[in-house]
Amino acid sequence: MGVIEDTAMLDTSILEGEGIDKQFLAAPVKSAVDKFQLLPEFLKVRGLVKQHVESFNYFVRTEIKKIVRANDLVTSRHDTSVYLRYKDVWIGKPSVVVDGVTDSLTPQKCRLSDMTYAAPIYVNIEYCNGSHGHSPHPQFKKDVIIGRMPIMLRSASCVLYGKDEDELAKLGECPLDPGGYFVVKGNEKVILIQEQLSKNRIIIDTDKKGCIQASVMSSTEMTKSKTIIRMEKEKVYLVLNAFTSKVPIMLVMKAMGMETDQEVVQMLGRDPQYATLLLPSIEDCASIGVYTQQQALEFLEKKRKKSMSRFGKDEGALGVLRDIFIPNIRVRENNFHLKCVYVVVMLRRMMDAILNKDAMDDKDYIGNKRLELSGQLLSLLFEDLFKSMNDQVKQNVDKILTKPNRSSRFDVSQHLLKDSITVGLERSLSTGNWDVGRFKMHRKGMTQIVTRLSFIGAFGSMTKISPQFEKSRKVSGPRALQPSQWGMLCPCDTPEGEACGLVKNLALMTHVTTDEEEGPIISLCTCFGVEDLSLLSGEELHSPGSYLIILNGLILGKHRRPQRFAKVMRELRRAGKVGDFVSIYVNEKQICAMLNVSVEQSHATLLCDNVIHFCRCVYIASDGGRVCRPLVIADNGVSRIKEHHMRELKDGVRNFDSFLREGLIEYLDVNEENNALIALYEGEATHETTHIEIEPFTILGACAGLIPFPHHNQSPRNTYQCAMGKQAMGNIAYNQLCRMDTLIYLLVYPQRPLLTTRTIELVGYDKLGAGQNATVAVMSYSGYDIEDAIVMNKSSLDRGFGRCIVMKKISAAYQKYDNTCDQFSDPRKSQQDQQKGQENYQEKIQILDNDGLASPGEIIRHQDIYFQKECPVDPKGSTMSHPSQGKYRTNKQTYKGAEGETAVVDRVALCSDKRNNLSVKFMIRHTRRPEVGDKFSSRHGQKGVCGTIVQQEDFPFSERGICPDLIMNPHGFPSRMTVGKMIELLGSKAGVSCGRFHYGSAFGEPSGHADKVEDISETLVKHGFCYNGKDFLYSGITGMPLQAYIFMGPIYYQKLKHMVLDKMHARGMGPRQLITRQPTEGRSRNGGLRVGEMERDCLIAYGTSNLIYERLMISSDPFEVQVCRKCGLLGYINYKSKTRVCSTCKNGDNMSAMKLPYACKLLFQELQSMNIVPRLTLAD
Amino acid sequence: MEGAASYQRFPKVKIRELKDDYAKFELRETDASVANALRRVMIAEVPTIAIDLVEIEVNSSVLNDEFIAHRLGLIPLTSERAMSMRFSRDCDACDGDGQCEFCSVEFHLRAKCINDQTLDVTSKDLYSSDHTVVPVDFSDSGSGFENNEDQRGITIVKLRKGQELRLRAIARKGIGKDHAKWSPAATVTFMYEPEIHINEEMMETLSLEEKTSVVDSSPTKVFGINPHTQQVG
Repeated sequence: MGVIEDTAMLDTSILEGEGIDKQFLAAPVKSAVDKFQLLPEFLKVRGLVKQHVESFNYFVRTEIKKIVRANDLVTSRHDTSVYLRYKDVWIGKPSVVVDGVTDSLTPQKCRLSDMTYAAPIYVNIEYCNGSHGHSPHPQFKKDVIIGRMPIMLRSASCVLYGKDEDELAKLGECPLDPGGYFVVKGNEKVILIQEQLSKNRIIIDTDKKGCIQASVMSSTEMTKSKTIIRMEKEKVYLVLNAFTSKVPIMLVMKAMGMETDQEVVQMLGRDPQYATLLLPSIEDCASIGVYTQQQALEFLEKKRKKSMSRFGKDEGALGVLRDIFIPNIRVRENNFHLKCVYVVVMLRRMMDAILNKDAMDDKDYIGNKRLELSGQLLSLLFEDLFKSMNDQVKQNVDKILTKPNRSSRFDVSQHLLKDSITVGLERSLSTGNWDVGRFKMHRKGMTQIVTRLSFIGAFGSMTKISPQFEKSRKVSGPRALQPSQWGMLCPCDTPEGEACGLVKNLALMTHVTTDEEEGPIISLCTCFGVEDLSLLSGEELHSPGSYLIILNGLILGKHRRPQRFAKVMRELRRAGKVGDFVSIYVNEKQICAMLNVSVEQSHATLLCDNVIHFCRCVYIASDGGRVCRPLVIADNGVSRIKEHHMRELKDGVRNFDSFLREGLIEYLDVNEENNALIALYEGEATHETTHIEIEPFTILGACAGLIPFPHHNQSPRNTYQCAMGKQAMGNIAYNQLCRMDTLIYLLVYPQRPLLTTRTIELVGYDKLGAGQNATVAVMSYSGYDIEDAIVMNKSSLDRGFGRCIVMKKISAAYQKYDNTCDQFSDPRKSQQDQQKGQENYQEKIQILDNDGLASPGEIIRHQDIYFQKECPVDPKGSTMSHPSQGKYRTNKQTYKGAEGETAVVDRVALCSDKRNNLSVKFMIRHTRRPEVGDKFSSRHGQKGVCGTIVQQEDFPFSERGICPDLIMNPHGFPSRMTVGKMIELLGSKAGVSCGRFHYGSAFGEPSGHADKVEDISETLVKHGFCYNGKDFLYSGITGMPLQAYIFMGPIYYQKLKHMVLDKMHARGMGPRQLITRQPTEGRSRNGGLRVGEMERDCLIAYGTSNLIYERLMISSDPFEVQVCRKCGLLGYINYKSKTRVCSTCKNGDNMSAMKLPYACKLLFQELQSMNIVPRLTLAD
Repeated sequence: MEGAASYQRFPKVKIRELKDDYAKFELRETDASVANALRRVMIAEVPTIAIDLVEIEVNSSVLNDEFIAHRLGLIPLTSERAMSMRFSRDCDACDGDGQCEFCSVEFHLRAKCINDQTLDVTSKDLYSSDHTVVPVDFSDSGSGFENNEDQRGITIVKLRKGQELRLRAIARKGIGKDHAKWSPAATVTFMYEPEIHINEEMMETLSLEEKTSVVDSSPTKVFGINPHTQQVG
């Protein structure tokens, strides 16, 4: 690792240079340690899609057990002694049962044979079949399967877990594949990360009318509800779904037992400002005449929605307050004190926002958001299905028990259903629709097929975060780049257009937390001096200098020395006594805001004294879905990671986890980052610095990490590249040739970029590249290069540049019917008479084997038959006839490819599908060389089509004999400002001349992960090139030197999937639609090109009426009709008597022929069918 | 034609260096257009022989048929016979199907890997029906790979245990214009020979130190200094 030495040397030189600074001298000696090695270790331990895997593992290990434990008892309503109790639940190894035989599954097997990669869910049950008078004795059953759970690849339940490269290869799996998705019915499905506003937290914002409100989205195992406390016309109201209209807040306080106003005001704080704000509400309550709890409850009872009795029991207004009103605050033994405190804190925060707008919460702040991952989403689904299954079991059991005389012996355990969970999970995963009635959740598009266009595309779908809002909202706030996204979400990778800024992607080092037990943390907190809330009076709540301690939105109590408390908690976390991902965040934000006020209003110092210590909270978070990232801990600006640590890492003594365990590194979430001062490099650390970044380029995600020198580009260019990198052809995976995807694009000679980045090496893009290093000359040539078109060298194409393989899957099936089934057919034996006569039938069937299937390796052309079978003429058939006796007809499928192109049957696979039919899959392979119109792009958002292909001898050449592969127009540079591309050219040129891959990681120059232009220029000069990358070229046509020096060198070019062959389309005569007789629409149906409204308008304006007539009628759907001049309706020709008849007038006296578009005639008839009579009045 | 001045020139060619795969010559008494014409012809219009048609019997390798065919096509073949061969499109002996002895050379390749080590199928495994047309062997041309023992031609495909490749290939005559595989040269280029005039008078005014610095300024050591006369030349 030469880089380490470089940086070390570099840094010592800096140290020497700044020797004069006394403070610097006094500071402890720092030596920059190259922490880059941590990154590969991090990715080795955590993987790029670890968040998905971790979340799924959590679900399998913990969540599923919790769900089952919470709903473990199924009792018959009819006979309470009949019950079934789940004792334990676990998930086995992926397997499938075929004809009663259990067969183990591998992901590749599932992909190929359209199966679901799922594992059985086992339970141990205890059950009793009724007491029958005497004491019931429970029976036990072990390993009962209640369904099958789709298994995430590379999770702990997956067969790939912990396998090394060789073992993965044996299983047919690509070792570079990240996993994190499911295989459902042969399709790879990934559950998109869902972005959501955090639950159980007070959020202060404004409603549509601009009223300030405090809202809490409560979510507990039992209920989900939204509580809003809103300030409307100076009065504070509670808005809750369970009440028909808004309720004065004081009334609610009274209903919860806080009968005296003084109590509320005291709890709110002594400051008169708050009391003033609350006064109208107090008066309001008094004007209604509610003074006691009883009165308040009666009042609320009237407002309560009566249909809210979902829980079976209806406990009146008090029940609503207990279970639906901020349910995350548990009420024990009807003691509402905690809830009162919570409401008051909400009130206070809201009033604070009224007094000072800075206290408003930002909904777009990442710290206020939670990411829902596969595990959480699956657990929702599972819980719902599990409960439904239990209900079903209960119903079935009741039904049987109510029967007066049962025929067979009754056994509860026999009534466990297997299918409902399996089918439900499978359906949701394959459709992406999460319909969980129990949680009022109806979401669509939760899953997505893993894009396998390119290796990077697969990563892209794994890190994609789908937004909480619908895309149509035209607001800029949520779309804007949030400063809190730093290091957590990639600033570049977002789609263009409607979802811009809403769909985000995770950065390289981001981790998403899973839930952690609250219990131990609570007890720890009390140990460290948190005063319990229930022991505090209202007044004490806001006593100066004390901080509220809030754990996951739950107020635990207060603490007098918050900084010390936070420090202790953090130390515990670093020591591993508390979970790694627990965040401790001390909020002092309000102080600063208030201090400013005090400067402005000097007379209000006393007031400020009271305000200052408002809402000083310590937030502890252990909930799931927070984004966090690892950082190096620094003490007084000195990194805890020393050189010897890194040496040990390199020697393999250490790994990432040991760094974490020894407290050298910790995870910070977005909120805790606010308490940290993070230095980018060790050299920049000051005395206050608490953390140091591991590597600056980890701010980008996997897709943006491919771009060399992205920090030199205009930012939208990087965004464009992120979208395009997913469309680039290349290698998909090591097992790409064994896959049977519907469409695979491969590059024949993919290369590793000459100018790499560290991210490329980390994700494995250097092993599965998607592009080629093309020598590019930046010059104008031939005029076929305008508008970003590129000119290509024909000889380069001959030699394999941009050559690609397109593989398409076609399926066919042998159907099974009641008594008969489809048969194989030998095309050469069973030629029926009608087919023999058919034109070039012999030619069409020549690629078929004796079984009627195209054989692999055969060349297949347009209209060739690739599959032929014998279908029974009468599939219903009589039961008597033997399959061989029935009548059969031949059924064939013809290949529809581009005319004039030859493709090859690559593979033929036979497998049985869901309904146990034999299905046949053909992979058709087509090798293409680039042609005019194919789309290419560099890695800097510079896409262009091939404008023309020129012979090598006409191409410019240099004195060394170098001839470019590609000519790019220089006009691509000034407006796009992709300086990174220029540096890439320079760097690659230096790379090919000195034989070393150059680097261009984002922000990598100071740390040596990106080469500096000066160094590159030096290398160029050393190898006889000009320092600025320009070459002296001769024209290939005349042999004269070109007027200018040409900027020439290699640039990594990607071939994008958009190719002319798939898109070109023209038609003269062709198919027409059946009902309107107009030409069909679309390329796939060989449709016509529409002269639309706007084109029509142009023709009208221009006055070419005959052209319109021709386009809209003659060439479309002309039709001759017979019109009755008298009644104006359509008649017909009676072909027998050769007379024209009007069916309305019952004669043919006044008939004339005219031409109409058939669609017009159709309209008339349709109108007539609706009792509207369109009459034609004919002129001469 | 009498009286009209003849503009006919008589360009001279002086070969400076000639190796199996490299030639360097001087072209004098003409201009760049002629040099360029030569270059263009060398690239695109000198006929050579290259594999043009591949019939694959067995291919269980990882590379597909077209892939291998493309690779075979790009293998350079010794093309001394090219001048005496016919273009298959105007060969009367075979009605243009291009498989007769006058316009084609047949190659065979049979390779199967039977042991655990991967087998490299290279251009040396191609068996030609005509001993004058064989894959060009670079290993003995002195390109620096001599001491490399396993230098066995150009790799076509690598085979694993059990994989097999069996094919018949037909090489034909063609020109570089049609496909780069028929281009006899990897690259052809020319440059004007630089003519350097040293202003002797001015040079005389320089001191020895300055003269050496002039000499050293050239990266390719074009100049030398005469130790006796202290003249730069």
